[in-house]
Amino acid sequence: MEATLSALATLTNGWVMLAALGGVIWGIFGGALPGISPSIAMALLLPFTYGMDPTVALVMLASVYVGAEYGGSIPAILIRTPGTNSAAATTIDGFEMARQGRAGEALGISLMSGLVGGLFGLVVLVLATEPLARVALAFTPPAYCALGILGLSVIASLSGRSLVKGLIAGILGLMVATVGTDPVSGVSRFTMGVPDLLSGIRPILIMVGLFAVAEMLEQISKPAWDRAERRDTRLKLPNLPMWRRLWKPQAIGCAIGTFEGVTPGAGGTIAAFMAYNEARRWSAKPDEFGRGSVEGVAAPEAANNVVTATALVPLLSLGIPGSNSAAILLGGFLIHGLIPGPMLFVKAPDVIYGLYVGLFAANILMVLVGLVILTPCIWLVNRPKPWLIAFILALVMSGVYAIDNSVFDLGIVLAAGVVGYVMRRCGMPMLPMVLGGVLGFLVESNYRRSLVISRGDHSIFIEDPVSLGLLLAALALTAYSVWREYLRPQSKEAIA
Amino acid sequence: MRLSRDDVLGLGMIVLAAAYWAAADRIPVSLLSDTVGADGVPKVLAVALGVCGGLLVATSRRKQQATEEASTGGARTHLRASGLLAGLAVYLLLLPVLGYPVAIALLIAGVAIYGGTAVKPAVAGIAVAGSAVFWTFFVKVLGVGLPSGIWAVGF
Repeated sequence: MEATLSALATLTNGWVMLAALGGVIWGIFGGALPGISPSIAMALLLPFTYGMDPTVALVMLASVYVGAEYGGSIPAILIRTPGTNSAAATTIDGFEMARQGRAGEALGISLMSGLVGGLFGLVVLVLATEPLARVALAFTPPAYCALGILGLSVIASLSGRSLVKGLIAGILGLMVATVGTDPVSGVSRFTMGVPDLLSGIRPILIMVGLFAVAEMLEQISKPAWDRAERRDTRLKLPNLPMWRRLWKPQAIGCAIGTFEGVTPGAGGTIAAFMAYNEARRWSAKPDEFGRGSVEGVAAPEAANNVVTATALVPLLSLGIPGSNSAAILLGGFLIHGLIPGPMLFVKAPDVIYGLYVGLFAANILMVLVGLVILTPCIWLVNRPKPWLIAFILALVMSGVYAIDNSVFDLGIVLAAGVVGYVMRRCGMPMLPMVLGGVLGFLVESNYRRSLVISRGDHSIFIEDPVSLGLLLAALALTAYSVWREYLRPQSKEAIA
Repeated sequence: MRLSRDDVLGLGMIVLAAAYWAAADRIPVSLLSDTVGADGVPKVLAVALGVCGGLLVATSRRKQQATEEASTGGARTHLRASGLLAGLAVYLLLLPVLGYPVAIALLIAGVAIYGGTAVKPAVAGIAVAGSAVFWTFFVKVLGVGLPSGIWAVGF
């Protein structure tokens, strides 16, 4: 009863609502800018929260997280440039829909799936924080390694027409992830004496190059590239029949997002890719995936928005920040003298309930802000193509520089753009490379940590029950994907 | 014997795998090293890439495909893309010298004109306005230290 009253008081607190609105708007714009990750968007606001009431400050930071995770999908759909790592999976069908003139529909599905995911994640956060916290504690280095391998198993279904080319792309991504300081011994690898490479190559640089720069090179090289295309110019929210089609991929996204969110370090990227893969596996129309499937947008969008809430489970219950964004939020707690952990629920329940209510408001406000800004966004990308390309490149070059104030990063993005252009020309899928780049460090560092613990004995991976379960799941997923893509007798439609 | 695109790609991957192996072999051994070593995973990746490259060549030889070749365009399309790439490379060189506001305005105007927009005063106006918007947002709002170049005193 006391909790309900506290929540209601927060809901009627104008400052909390204003903080949620400001946070969501800032988050959406930050997430939509390539190079500004949710954690950077949150970090930029952190200094302004010093003088605020703790609940208002934490709601604002959490709202930025919610807004930024959603905002990343806007450029992913409109210009094939994921604003955040976790929006990479949305580019597959989202941009394809935009190319077919269905950008408004894709953005509407993304927005509503984000709302479903965000609210589901909040329910999980409120009701299941304590039992789910145990999942986070069960993860050891072998389990993390196996989790990364499970994520990599999606490569088989992202490979398109050629599994070999998909594998090559995945290996190239893993190779990129080996650049920098070795995670165990600390020696530098493949840095060629360049200090900028010592900390490795950020996956976002590879993504922006592979998607945005390569797309611009591709666009400008088309013979009739500046011819206007027929597109819808308004946001289109899903109607009832569409909702009936979307519930299954959204449910898949919610389930996977819950699991990945409570696992520190897993994050929205693995969740989104796995949700996409599973949605395709369970779809009645799997052939539409990769060609503008509405389900292919709904599943990853639901998954990465669930993570915004469920990633707070290990933070609130155990004090473990499972992601950069959660670490910034932890900073917000500490600034106000609050220490996340089991005692927080006893010492400052009003802050916890206030945060729950703030997250609820942030998800609703995300939709309202989306309804206002998405139609102008669609209008913007329907401008004459020479100007569109000029401004996209200016935005990319500015956003990437902003990550580390580094011209060297811009060079990496251009190089990745050339690689992406060549890959397209060779018919190589780019997403396996992104996946390899994102997961490479997770897999290698935990593989080697596991072997340090076991003194070189590989049986540690099957003795750990979580690791064994994840490895078996990865094996089953890979076998099924290979069978479905390459060994299954072709359907009549495909033959026709 | 004419090499197909997949043949070239497969052979390229084999060469890359060999170079990557050689580079991995040169990684110094640390006293802190574990049983796998800093070069362990890279060498496995090199072998995997080499095998996949070989498989690609083998499957390409079997298929003798011709369908993909037709759809990928000719040298002219690559030249247009190369032109844009060269423009971006020039931007990287000019950025520290001319500073962000001027360089980004030149990039916007240059790409728009290269893309087919007619050269007229409005192009310069839009480029300057775009530069001002980007500069205000990134420098004033986000506090990013973008290069001021030779105009350092003014910014």
